[in-house]
Amino acid sequence: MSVISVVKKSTGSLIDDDTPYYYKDSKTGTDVLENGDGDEPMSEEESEAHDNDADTAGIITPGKLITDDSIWMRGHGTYSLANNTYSSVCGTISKVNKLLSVKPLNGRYQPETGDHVIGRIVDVGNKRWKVDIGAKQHAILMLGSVNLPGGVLRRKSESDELQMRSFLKEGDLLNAEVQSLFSDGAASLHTRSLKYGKLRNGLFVQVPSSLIVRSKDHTHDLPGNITVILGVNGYVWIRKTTVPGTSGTNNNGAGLNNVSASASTAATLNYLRANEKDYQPGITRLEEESSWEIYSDKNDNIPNSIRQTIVRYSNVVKSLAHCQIGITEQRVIQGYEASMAYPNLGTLIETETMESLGQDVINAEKMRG
Amino acid sequence: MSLLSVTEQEYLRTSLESKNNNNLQPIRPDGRKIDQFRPMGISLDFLPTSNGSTRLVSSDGTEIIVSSKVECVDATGLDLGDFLVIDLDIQGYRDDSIYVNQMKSILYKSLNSKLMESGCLKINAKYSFKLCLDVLVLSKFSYPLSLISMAIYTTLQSTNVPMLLESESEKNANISGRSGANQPKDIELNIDELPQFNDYDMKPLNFQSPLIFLIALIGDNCIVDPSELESSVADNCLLVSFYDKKVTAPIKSISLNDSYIKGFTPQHLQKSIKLVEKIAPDVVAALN
Repeated sequence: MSVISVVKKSTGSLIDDDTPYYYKDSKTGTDVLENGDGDEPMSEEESEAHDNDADTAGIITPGKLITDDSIWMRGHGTYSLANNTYSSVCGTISKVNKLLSVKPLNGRYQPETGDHVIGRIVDVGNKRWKVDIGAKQHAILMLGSVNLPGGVLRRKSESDELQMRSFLKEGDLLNAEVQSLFSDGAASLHTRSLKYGKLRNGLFVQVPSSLIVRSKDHTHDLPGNITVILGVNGYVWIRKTTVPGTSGTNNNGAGLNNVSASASTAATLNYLRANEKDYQPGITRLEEESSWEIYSDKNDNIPNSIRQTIVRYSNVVKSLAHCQIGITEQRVIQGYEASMAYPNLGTLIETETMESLGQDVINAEKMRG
Repeated sequence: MSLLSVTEQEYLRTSLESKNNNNLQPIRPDGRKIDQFRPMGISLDFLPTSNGSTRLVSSDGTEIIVSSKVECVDATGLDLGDFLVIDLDIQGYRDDSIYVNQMKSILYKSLNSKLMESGCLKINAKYSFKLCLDVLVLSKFSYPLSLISMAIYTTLQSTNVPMLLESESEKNANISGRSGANQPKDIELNIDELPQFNDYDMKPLNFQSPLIFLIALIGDNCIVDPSELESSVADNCLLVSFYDKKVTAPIKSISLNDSYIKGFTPQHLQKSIKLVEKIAPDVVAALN
């Protein structure tokens, strides 16, 4: 295997001559939705027909006339000049009743309530963390919306405010759910579920957010003892599957017992950390310690074979992103199986390999029907 | 990206530090071998107004544009250092920042002496070409010096300089000094006429510039072409130059991040040089 692969062109042209043009506009006219040449009002059937036209027209470009009919309400991704509606982004037309909008093909992630996202803490502020989730604004994670150590049901206390960095600090990765949106579009997150929280034991990969399909579940256990979290914002976390009960996610019933103990959490924290070696566990303290594990900065012991599998999955996800294939659990597994044809992990970064892998995934999906 | 969580750093460190026994290689986050580069694409000669140009795009999104221009200058009274100008512009960095200047000076030092040794810029006894290299780093995610040196290499490989008019050069030999008939000073100095160039005929510059390899050191391991993630956990980084089929000066160490700063041992140096000696011929072959 060569150490380097270089694709050289010396034609003097920056654009490949053999670049396929995937998206040719099937219509000859400039307008996609325009209502023929007659002035008569659009009937329902005609409207349907035009809808279909719009769908087959596929992708429209910025500045393209979508319609000159003022009956449409203009939504995101459009602008109007003299009663004409134009597209302001490159994407596909979406219509809800009379609301016409253009969904951009690419661009920043737009949070929606209920999205399962992965974020990185960028700032610790007054009772809140700022989280980078790849959206236009940083998301907010309030101290009150995280699981505090010492039980799920505990209220936040002053000592918690003073030691926010011992829960989450700058650079930490976490997965969370979008709880609500502020009026300016910024997201408010929460991690008040055992499936959310700090991320450990793995590798972070970023793909365009448009490739992640929203689904019911975004955490998948995959073959090879790997768990992958496909954040809706395009942040992907690939980690070793941990058996519940060994990773600090076992504080289900700890809540009630710990309400009384919670006030002293801050004091005991220092004590616990100082005396980790010769610490004799009591019943409540044991629970406290285990619940602190959700904010632990220590990885489990990960064998090299698992690390290699993680790398393989990461390369598969990158290959799917390279081929602009929507990333789902099924496709990741398919890609992983197809990638087994390449025992050497290093070959998976070559463009041809990535493309053939993408082709394999698509073929497998076609075969399945 | 400079911000990594503690657990990510720990994960990367342990993966990359893992020992080389049992035929196991360190596990790089993208699965490469220790001596494997990321793939790249190169477009040559895409700027019609320059003598040679390269656009290099690496698979991580790093994009570098290099163009070369040659200028005919009067060589008398010029220092050896005056025949090469490198202009380096990196997106997001000030031109006078340490980052840019350090890189510029490494490039200049490695390139200039070799360029002068080769004598490929000379036109005749008095005149010479002056080479101006414009390097534009449009986007970068890791230390781009290695890629810049590759882009300069392909640029100089594709650089064409104008040819002297054959008759003109002969004539010059015979009638040197005639143009300065009215200027006694010029006659004294026996100055050639300004060289006349053929309008269309160009010849290749024929200079193979030195390549600079980045070898990141993590634990006992040496890995080539560190990616962004690898850079952020590397102890140290060695720059090893390669010219004319052998490893050559300058060899330099730089730090790729602020959190891990560690020296290097002679074993590291030895390993790195061996690694470069092994991979460099392949890289040169791929770039030619």
